[in-house]
Amino acid sequence: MGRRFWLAVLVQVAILLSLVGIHGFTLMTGEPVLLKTAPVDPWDPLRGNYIDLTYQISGIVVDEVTLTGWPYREGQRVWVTLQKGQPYWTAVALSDQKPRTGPDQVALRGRVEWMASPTPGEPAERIWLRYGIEQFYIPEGQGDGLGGRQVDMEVEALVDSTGRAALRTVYLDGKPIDWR
Amino acid sequence: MANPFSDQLRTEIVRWVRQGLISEEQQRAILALYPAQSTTGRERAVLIFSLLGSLLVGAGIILYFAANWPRIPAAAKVLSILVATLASYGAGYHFQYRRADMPLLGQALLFLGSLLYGAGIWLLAQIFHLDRDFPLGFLAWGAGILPLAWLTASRPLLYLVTGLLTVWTVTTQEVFEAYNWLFPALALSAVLPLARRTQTRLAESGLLLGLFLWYMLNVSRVEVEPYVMAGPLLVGRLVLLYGAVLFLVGLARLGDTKTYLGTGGLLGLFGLYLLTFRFYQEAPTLFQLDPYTLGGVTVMLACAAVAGWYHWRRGETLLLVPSAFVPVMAVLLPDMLAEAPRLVIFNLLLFGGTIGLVIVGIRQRLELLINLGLGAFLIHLVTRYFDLFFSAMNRSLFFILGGLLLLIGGWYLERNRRRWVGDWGGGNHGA
Repeated sequence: MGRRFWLAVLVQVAILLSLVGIHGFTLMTGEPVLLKTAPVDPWDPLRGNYIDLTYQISGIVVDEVTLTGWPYREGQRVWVTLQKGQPYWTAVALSDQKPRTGPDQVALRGRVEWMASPTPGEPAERIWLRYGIEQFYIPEGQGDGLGGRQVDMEVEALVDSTGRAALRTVYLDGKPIDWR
Repeated sequence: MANPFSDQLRTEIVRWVRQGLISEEQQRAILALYPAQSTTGRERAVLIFSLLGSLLVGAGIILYFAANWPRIPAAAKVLSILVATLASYGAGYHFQYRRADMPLLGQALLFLGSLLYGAGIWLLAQIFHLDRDFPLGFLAWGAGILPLAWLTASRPLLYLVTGLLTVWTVTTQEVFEAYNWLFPALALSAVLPLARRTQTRLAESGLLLGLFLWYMLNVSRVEVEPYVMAGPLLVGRLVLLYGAVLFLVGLARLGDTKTYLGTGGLLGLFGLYLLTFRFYQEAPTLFQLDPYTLGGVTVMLACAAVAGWYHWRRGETLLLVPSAFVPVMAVLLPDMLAEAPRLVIFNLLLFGGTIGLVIVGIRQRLELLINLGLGAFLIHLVTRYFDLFFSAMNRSLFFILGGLLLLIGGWYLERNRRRWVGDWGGGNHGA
């Protein structure tokens, strides 16, 4: 019983370590990209305070990018090709499969959250996407100054070879946020 | 009832293992023959207090890390939660298996360990700034403690697994618009057998409801437009059919009778209740059934056939004829009838279903079904009283009459319930 008990506990330790491994891989190997944001600050009962980040690349105008595999459906996984710009990276293409990228480009994996049409039934004009980097967790009570205010923020994210992204640094008025 | 033999056995058997008279495997097999009777007030109170204590400690630790203290390095946070989890499991193992005289404390500590493990997942989500749409966290939590729940046959862990996996499928289906076939696969292959093995009716009922939520979310995803148009009608039908399937499974003794008759009866009456309301309805048509309803009817008739075969072999009266007849009529009628006759007929069907559930409860000696039937009858009565008289009566008179109606109805129903249950001689209440 003892050995099997600790094996069952080991399964849980392995799951925790695999979470560390997956996200650690992105942080260690990812290509840095600089993105423009605007925040609001909600609260998550399990994880505390966070800033909710919306990026310029969160809402993509369909006519402004190259589309592959269009139309998409809500909930679908898509890849966004980001092109390095000055200073921010911008979306240049959307694809339902992982695209080949050129120099100064990365493929970022996202999920279609919803699509905005001018009238119901007509093709979408803008697609809203989530990339899994929309939350930045902060110490309790320290996000009050940002709540609901449109402040000038930038995010340095890392995008790994699988298209997964991770947040590295959030800049407020050009300076990295350091809560300590 | 306390069982002195079982209590004595639990103390003695630890000594037998220590002396090498029996193995730990044999210890488990023997204890399984004489399950602990945790139904005494004292034991129940100990378990409830211990679990509440675990919940409070777990919630406190989750909130402590959620506060995201920047002075503690991320690695130290992860390490401390890992150590706390392992320590809690170690203490739980000690009290549950080494010192078998304190199994309730052992269960509570195992439960605390599983909460701390969950806290570890959310702590990592916070450290890595994972998106709030993180249903995978609930899967990692629920599936992670599933092997331990199997090994320890712990009911609190089983409840936790059932709740977490249900939250996981609801969030996954909502966020990712996914079918999430993994949920029924996990539920039917790993969680349901554990609920059966540990005879945990509440977890089995919860899982059956979780499976229904999974099904309904998929229906809403696939056929958005018809679902919206025919919303209440389709929901009422599917709830009723699912309830009928569970009820027939209970009648055919394919699952725990009390669990399936209780959950099925509750859902069946709720489905009928939904169909007694006014809602948007297209002009009556004949047999334009959606594939989900047709699928539900097919499964239900198959269960009715199995139940019929079971009862026929034992020469018992076919309770299942009305049990199958009412749902079939309820599925076919709304499309064929205009609103007014539909409302009349469905009120009659709900009344008949309520009476039928009480009759089944009396025949099967299941107090739960009688209580469900009587509760549904009162809710039906109050709903129609509000529908019919709220706008037509003076408000004070409306509430006074309504209150008197409830008091008299409650007294009459309780008197009959006591008489029916009393006729069983205080023996088996279907537990």
